[in-house]
Amino acid sequence: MSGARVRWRKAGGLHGARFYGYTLVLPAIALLIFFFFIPSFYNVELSFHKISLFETVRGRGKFVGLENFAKLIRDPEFYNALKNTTFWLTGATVGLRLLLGFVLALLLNSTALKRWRLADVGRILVFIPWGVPPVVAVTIWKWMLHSRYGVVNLIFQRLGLIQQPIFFLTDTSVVWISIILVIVWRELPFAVVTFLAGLQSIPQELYEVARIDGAGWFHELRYITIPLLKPVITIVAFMITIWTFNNFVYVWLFTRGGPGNFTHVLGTKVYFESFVNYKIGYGATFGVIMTVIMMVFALVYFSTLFKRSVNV
Amino acid sequence: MRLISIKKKKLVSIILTVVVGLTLILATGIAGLSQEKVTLVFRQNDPPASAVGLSDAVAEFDRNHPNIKVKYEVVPWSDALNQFIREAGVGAGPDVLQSAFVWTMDLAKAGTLVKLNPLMEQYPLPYGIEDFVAVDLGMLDEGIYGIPWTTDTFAITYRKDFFAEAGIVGFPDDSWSHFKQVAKKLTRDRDRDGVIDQYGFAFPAGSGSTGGMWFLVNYFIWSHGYTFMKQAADGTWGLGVDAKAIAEAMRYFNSFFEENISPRSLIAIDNWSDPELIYGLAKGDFAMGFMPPQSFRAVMDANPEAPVSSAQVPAGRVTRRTHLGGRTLAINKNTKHLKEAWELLKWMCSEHVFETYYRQQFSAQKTLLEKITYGPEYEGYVKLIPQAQTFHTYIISPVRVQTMWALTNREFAAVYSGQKSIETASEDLIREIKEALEEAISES
Amino acid sequence: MLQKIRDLFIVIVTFIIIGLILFPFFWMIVSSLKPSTQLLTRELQFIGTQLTLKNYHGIIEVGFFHFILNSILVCTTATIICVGFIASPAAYAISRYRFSGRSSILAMVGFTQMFPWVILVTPVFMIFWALHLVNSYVGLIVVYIAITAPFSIYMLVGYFETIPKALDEAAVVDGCSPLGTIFRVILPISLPGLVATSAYTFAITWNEFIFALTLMTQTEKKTVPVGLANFLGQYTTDWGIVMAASVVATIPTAIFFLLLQRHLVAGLAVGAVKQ
Repeated sequence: MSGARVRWRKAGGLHGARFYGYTLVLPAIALLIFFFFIPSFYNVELSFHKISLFETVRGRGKFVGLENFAKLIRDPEFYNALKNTTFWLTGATVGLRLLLGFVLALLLNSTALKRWRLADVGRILVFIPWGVPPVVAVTIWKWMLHSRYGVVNLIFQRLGLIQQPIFFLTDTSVVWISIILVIVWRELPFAVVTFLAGLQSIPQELYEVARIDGAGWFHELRYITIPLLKPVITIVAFMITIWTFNNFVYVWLFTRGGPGNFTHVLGTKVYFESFVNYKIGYGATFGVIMTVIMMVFALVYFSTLFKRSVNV
Repeated sequence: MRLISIKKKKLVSIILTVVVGLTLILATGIAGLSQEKVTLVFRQNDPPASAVGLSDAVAEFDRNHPNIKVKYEVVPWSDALNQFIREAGVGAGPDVLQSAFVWTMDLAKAGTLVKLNPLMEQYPLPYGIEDFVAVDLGMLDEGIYGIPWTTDTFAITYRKDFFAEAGIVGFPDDSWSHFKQVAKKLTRDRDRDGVIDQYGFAFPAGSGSTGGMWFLVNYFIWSHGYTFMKQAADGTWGLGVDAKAIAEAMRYFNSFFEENISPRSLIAIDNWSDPELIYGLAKGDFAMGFMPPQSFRAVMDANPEAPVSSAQVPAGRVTRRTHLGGRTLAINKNTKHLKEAWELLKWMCSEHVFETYYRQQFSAQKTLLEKITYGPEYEGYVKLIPQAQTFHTYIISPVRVQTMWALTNREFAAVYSGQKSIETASEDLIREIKEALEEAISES
Repeated sequence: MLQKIRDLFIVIVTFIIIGLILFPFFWMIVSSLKPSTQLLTRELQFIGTQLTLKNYHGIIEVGFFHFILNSILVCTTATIICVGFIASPAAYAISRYRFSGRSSILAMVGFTQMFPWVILVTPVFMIFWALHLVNSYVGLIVVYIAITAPFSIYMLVGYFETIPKALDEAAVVDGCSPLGTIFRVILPISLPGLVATSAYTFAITWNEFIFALTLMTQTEKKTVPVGLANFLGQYTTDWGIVMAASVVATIPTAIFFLLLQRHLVAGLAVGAVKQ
């Protein structure tokens, strides 16, 4: 019966199903068109113009066709930002979040904690970084990583691990580590929560049956937990990748793209070109390219992993 | 049966939401209509600590004008410009707004501000417009669009006790090299543990696009007779500085790090009021600092015992010059109450407000600057302001100030952090500004 | 005995990790209780010698609690409407029904996440101004529903997919109508997923900054992140106050999670696949 769609005869068969389908989805679609499609068309239009921030008050600037895009392709800062966004910002943080989130979810769901009645406490505590606004998270970490007054440096020096303080914010060899640390710290609870919820939905009988059959924890993990969690993992990975790729807040608040241009990502370039250089048209171009890249990614993702694990 | 009841539930909740929504909208609308009073919105951009007394000033205005109600709004600087532009385009926005010196002309060009000349004639300012400094920054084609409200500049702030301790008499503001010499003398390892704990000079060396390094660089090159943007007699624009002069500046400031007169942690600091700079001076981690009066006040608040004072920045080969910064007050073109907005603007610029409420800032009026007494610690600022020059030339040049600002900070920080050599960075900076100039000219 | 050691090991590892995760928060609280002069020091002081509540007085004076009330109102309403009335029905339809355009709807939903929100602000502001929804709670709530709906739909689809279709069919065989199936079978089982989605939606709206800043310029309507940004000025930053405000800003979300986390406990899924 798996894979077959459920039909409700009472509701009038297939025709009824389609009706229900559309009405249930309608409010969401209306919101999306209003909020996302219209503004993104506006953005695409902007990318075809040469327009400064001040000119947006009245008028549309000068139409220049694909000139902004040509300029983008020749711009070395675009490739720098693209590299940073793909590997450091997205790749590293998503990988770490999936891995650590999964491990932490398993730990929090473990029978060990339940036996000692610490599961509740553990879960509550893990959520806390999530409640911290990004501005605050960056502020605290910047402070903790401060080269002279930061607690991290002070502790390392007290423990004798380092002689000279580490310049977490300005040394190009460690600045990305610092940014990744902030992002993972603050965003990890999301992965933990979603994996936990997924783990909770797995019927306990399956584990009991496996245990009776003599399976160890590794077997349980490999043959029960991971396969059943695949839909959740896939969707979570997809969403946090897209969201992280487009993110600008963390890098902007942490380093403003510095030192120099070293940590600029695509999101900060949009903001920088639009609101610091006042070139709204050129900033919009970055935005369009980001959208295109993400669409390609989504297409590839959909046609491979998604279909396989979600049975769409 | 269940089907209908659940559908009904959904329908009911949808209707409820709509009804509640409509009620809220109507309520706000009716509330607006029922007031016979004129409502004005006054917007300023400083955080509470820097805007002490402003809301009281507004409150007194309310009391003196029973038919006017003023709403006091705060939008942080980082978003103020974007927000206003968004609002101006759709007919929204505050009535009277605070604007940075460097934005006023651009905002006027975009048609967002009211031309104030007719108002100035009908309801004149107490000391006249000639009493104000930097009026040219708010002007566009002979029209005045912003009234200079407050003014400030950057000075060297220092610990008098450290100077006395080291036996230094008089302040080394006669040359930049003398200044560095003294800074080096003031760099000490007080407790002899091998780590320097008193640095000679602290300055924001960060690469951020609105960081403080820009001001220091300009003071240096101005004092040597250079400038970024220069207009020739025939009207063409060009650079007034070359790679060699920039390299000299880079070499000078970088030497503070190389010779350990300043800690390398400053490379991460953009903002001149970063706690490391403020508390550093207050606690004695630094002997000298570089900051505007508001930050200087924060130093004194942080440690009232510390004997700090301000002095002029060093003079170069040619002269000594700092920038005249400040804020203007302007009236939004979308305002519905022009006369009342102008009354409010005049009130905020008045002697009474600066004397009683807005004591943290220097007024932009020459008479008030003389009349109102500031403590002896402010001597550096008081001496510098009359000699200071605005960024007017930069503002009317084809290249945006923000662009030059961002590029300068970036290239200097690249040198400090070891990413680029001084030759490369100085050449890059000149080249980038030239490119920006060419691009700007070709577009107009 | 062996099991006890294993248990102990797991517990210790878990709480070490949690301890490391929470250390910054601990540091934030400790810092908020120190006077500003004591914050910048090279000595390693965990608790400090002078504790003071001055910073908390400072934020009360500025009316910070008003911001918190605004945030609670806007975020709770948006979360309830989004997850309950917009995302759940849509996700259910996508997961359970086959109708043409289903994949493209999924794609559209994904599309909305594919560009930085910074781009959306100006057009949204223009539209909302025309609708008189600027500086209005309704306006901000609608925005928050719109920006969290796509993600909620995606997450809920994931959770609904985890529930075997066999359950639906079991319910039908039992005599349930479609909506009955939703409410009596699917929703209870997916409660962990609903809770997780609500928690995430709430967190996003609680920390959202750009739209709140743009649409609410009147001081009495501001939300917490915007209020916080006010303290980070251009000339002065009072770090003690920023830390105090941060602590206070984190507490409501923590309480929210505390209340909801009970529902993350399974127990409900067990009874489902009987028969």
